[in-house]
Amino acid sequence: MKIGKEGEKFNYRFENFGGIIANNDPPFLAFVNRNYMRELGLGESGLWNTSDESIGLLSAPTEVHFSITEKCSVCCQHCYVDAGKQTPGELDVESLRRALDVLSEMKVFHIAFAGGDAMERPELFELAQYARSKCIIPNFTISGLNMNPGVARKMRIFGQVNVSVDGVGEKYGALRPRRMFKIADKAVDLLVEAGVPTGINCLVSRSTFEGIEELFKYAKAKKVNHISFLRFKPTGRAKRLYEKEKMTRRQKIDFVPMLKKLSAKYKLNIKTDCSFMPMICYHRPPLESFETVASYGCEAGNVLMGMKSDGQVTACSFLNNAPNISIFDLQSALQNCNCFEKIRNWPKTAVEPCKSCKYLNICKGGCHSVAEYITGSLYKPDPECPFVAEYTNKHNLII
Amino acid sequence: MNLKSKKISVSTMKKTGKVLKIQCGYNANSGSLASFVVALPVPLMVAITALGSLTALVSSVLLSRLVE
Repeated sequence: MKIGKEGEKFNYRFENFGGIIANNDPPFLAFVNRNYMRELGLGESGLWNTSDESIGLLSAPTEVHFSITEKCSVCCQHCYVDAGKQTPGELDVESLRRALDVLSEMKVFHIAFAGGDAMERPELFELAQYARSKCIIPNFTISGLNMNPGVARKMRIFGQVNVSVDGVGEKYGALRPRRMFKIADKAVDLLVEAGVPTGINCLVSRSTFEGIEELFKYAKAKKVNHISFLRFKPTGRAKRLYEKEKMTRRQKIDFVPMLKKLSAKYKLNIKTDCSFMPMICYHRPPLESFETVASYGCEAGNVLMGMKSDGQVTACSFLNNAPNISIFDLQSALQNCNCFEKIRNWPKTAVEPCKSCKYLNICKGGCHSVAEYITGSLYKPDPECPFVAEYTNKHNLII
Repeated sequence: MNLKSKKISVSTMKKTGKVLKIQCGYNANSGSLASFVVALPVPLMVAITALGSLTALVSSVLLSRLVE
């Protein structure tokens, strides 16, 4: 933690290119060059003993998805981690505190509490408070279950809370239990009333796609700060629904222009998850548009990592090919072994059509959990990428 | 896709310190990274201002947006 000239407190860490500065109000991470760090009075770093000043592989993730339980009472049919009952090996609260100590030492800036439903761990708010005390901003996505005015006020501890709402009314129930819409809707109201930075998560599938404009109207009326659109991925119980619910080719192509139109119409901020990068790149935006505002393709094992409720670390929470690294060994593992090396360096070994795609270093092959499910290898290009699909058809390739 | 670019210069710009990239907001998702790709977050202009007051060293940041 550093106190700036104007008295502002900010968190930071060094990287080969210079460093990363974290601001909380408004929230942002600024990737800055070496001179910027010097001019802030932060000194020099051993990480600068290289002529490479490009932003590439980071010294640690900026964000970790921090699962504290597999338990979840909602039991959605498409749950990406197959959550339901509590599993053996779940870390106790003291171990979770130690895990946060590790992330703090690594200067991880943000975590997203995950599960299961992390609300089902009674220590959730205590852990969130502990994360704050360690200069880590906790964030959270909820179903809305167990929300009341008192809990909503406690949610102010989080930097951002998103409520999963894939559609409005009956459309909510395309994937989730229909009874949950009223619960999610009430949770959104309570959070906004409590002054919690609140957003909506929309899982985009073949069934939910048609309800997206209605969701914009809903989100605008509810005064949430953004909608995050997440791609339906074939992991956990979602594998069983994938063929039925994966987006059609037309939907994949129409998706980003539709968001552009609706974002302008409703004056609402939009995020998409990293797995939608192929659908964004398909419309050939200028490369420089990605350079200064962080827009991520697959950053598994680099910008992003996941921790399971038993403390095992994964490159991202959709990839289960864990190299058997415990959170408590992560710091030394990143320094001393090549864990996550292949996924972190995927662009170097990319095959066609990714190899010659101008968006390779942004997109990084699309979603590797999708590639793993469809092709059997997470290191192949995402077959659902419109570019990849066209290439495959043109060359009569069989995936 | 018709991307438009907007160059934001901060009056306190000086020296050689440079902001290379900005990641806005927090990611609440428990699964994957999220990026602003359609509309820039409203607080971003404030963020740039905050950086300026924080350091008085901000260079210029080229921001691109899909929606003006």
